[in-house]
Amino acid sequence: MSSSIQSRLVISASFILFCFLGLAGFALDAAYQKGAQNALNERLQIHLYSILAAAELSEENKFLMPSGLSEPRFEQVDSGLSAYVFDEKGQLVWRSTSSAGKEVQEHKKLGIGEKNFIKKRLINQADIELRFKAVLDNTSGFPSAFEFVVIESTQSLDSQISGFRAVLWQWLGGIAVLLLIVQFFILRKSLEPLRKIVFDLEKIQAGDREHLDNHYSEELKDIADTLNRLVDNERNHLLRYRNTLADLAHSLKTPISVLTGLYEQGSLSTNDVAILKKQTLQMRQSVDYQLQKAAVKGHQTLNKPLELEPLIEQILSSLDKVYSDKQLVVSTSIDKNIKFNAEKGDLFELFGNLLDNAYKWANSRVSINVHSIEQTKNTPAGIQIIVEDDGPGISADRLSEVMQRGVRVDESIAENGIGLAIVNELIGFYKGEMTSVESSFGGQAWLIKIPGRAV
Amino acid sequence: MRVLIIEDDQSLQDLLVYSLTSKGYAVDAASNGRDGLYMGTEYPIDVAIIDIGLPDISGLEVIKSLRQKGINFPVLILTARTRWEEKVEGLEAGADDYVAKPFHIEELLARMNALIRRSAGLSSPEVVCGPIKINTSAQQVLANDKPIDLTAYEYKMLEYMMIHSGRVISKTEIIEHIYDQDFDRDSNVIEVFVGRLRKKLDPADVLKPIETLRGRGYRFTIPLNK
Repeated sequence: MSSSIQSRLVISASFILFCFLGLAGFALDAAYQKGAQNALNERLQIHLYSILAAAELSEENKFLMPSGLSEPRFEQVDSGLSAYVFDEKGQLVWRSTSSAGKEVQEHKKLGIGEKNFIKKRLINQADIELRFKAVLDNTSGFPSAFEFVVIESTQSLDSQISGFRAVLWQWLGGIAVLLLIVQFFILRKSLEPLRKIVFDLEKIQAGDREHLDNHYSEELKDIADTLNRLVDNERNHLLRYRNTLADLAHSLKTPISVLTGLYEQGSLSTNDVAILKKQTLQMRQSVDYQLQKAAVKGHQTLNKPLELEPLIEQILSSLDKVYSDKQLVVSTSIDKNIKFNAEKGDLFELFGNLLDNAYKWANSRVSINVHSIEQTKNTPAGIQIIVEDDGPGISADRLSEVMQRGVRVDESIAENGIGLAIVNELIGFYKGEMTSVESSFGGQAWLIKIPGRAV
Repeated sequence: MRVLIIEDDQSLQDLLVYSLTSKGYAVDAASNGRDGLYMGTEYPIDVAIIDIGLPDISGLEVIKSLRQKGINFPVLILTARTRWEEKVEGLEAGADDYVAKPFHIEELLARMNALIRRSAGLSSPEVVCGPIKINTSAQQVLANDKPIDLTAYEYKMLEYMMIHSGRVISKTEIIEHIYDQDFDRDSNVIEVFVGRLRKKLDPADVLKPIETLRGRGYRFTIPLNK
């Protein structure tokens, strides 16, 4: 069964509707059939009584039937109505004119005054016969028993019933269709709030709205409230997490700075300095790496898709400031209005580290290229980022090392040797891939593809 | 050069003050944003090192307020929060560079010197006025390609005068940018330094790099090669 509530309701309500209409149809049909049957039986009895009333016995106990029964069909061949009279020995003593050409019916043992209706179904025709045993007195008062048989074809009854049936089922079918349509619209209307809440939730997921406006229905009020709280919790949780990490970073890094400064004052022995240097370096790198890694959100959540161009421009203008000495030529090619559904901090980390690295190593040129990828058979839709510089590049044998956690390519270049490792890790979280490709400027070039909803 | 340090962690502040003063910088140190903002507004600061995470007013707010008041000395931010979003935020607030904690003092000094240079419109660590050359990162001085040996204070004074070459610099200005608060302004130490610099740079008295303007101050006469 489909999992949608609407189809469940439609299917179960339709099932009940069909059962009801079907049973109602059968009941009506049976009632009508019974009514028609009773009417037929009654007619047969009336015919019987008319025959009884007309029948006479002669003095010799001979059965006499004056011609001209009130029912003209007895006189008409193939009228569907015929009558027979048997004497006590089972001899046919009288038959109506209409019975011509038909089999004489068998004599049945019946008690005096006993009535018996028998339905018979022969190959071509169905009949109903009424048998009755009555005692007739002759003129001298001597009684003799006779069996009266009246047979009527049920053909007219059958056609009457089948006519009724056709009309009945037509009507029931029509009503069923009408009710189904009405029911479908009623369900649609009743499930409207659910559809609205789903629609709004999708909007929240796409980041187009912040909360569910609570105007769906009384029953959904609690759900909407709970969902709103959940959404808020997620946002708050992320924020708290970030702040805690930042505070932790702050509280760890300042003492490490002091330690680092201590050995630079030259009051310690060379051996002490070497140990201190190594240990503090390790501490700063693991603190940096672990904190950054932990702060990476790494998945597409209830965020608005972000416009990439202003974000990248922000980073570029900051880096222009920091590396203004190098007077680099920076070329950008970014799809106008390209948006990507990722956490803002993650995007800052991604582009910040990539571009910082390019600026740091470039001699004169840096380029960044961001485009959306259309979905094809083999690749999902997403974004493609190419960052190039004309610096020394990274040799193939060092690549894996650079992209590994916490490794600096050159210790003498200040700041963040872990940048590329973070980028690599982040791209992994977003199920993308990062490859080193040949740069047209002769330096380092990174090609990054991240699947996801690029808008 | 007068450096403003706003850092709430006392041991790191002490370390910075110690390192900078031993390299010949005049240092003003504040432990909170409010004091720092006051010093930045009132004192003749050349460069500031500001920690972002301050207890009262955040470092970013301090920088924004300074910039709003039209105070343009270069600012280096210290941050433990190495997230790019925060770096960009800091730089957009008006900072000129950032150093992430933990850092090496040398790295901080190199960045700081680069900022001072840049604020004077120089793009390389070499400051050249005719035959006199100084390398601000190595703190080396060459006159006619011969190395000159200067004390830390003499070097700082020469660097300041060369960067502001062609401008009249009062004695007070020199004192303010080279010495801390507690310097005795009536002493003749500046005259003594000027005399020593003239002797060391121009023993033959040919270049006459430093001109005395009576009652107004000094002027470095050789124009800066930009």
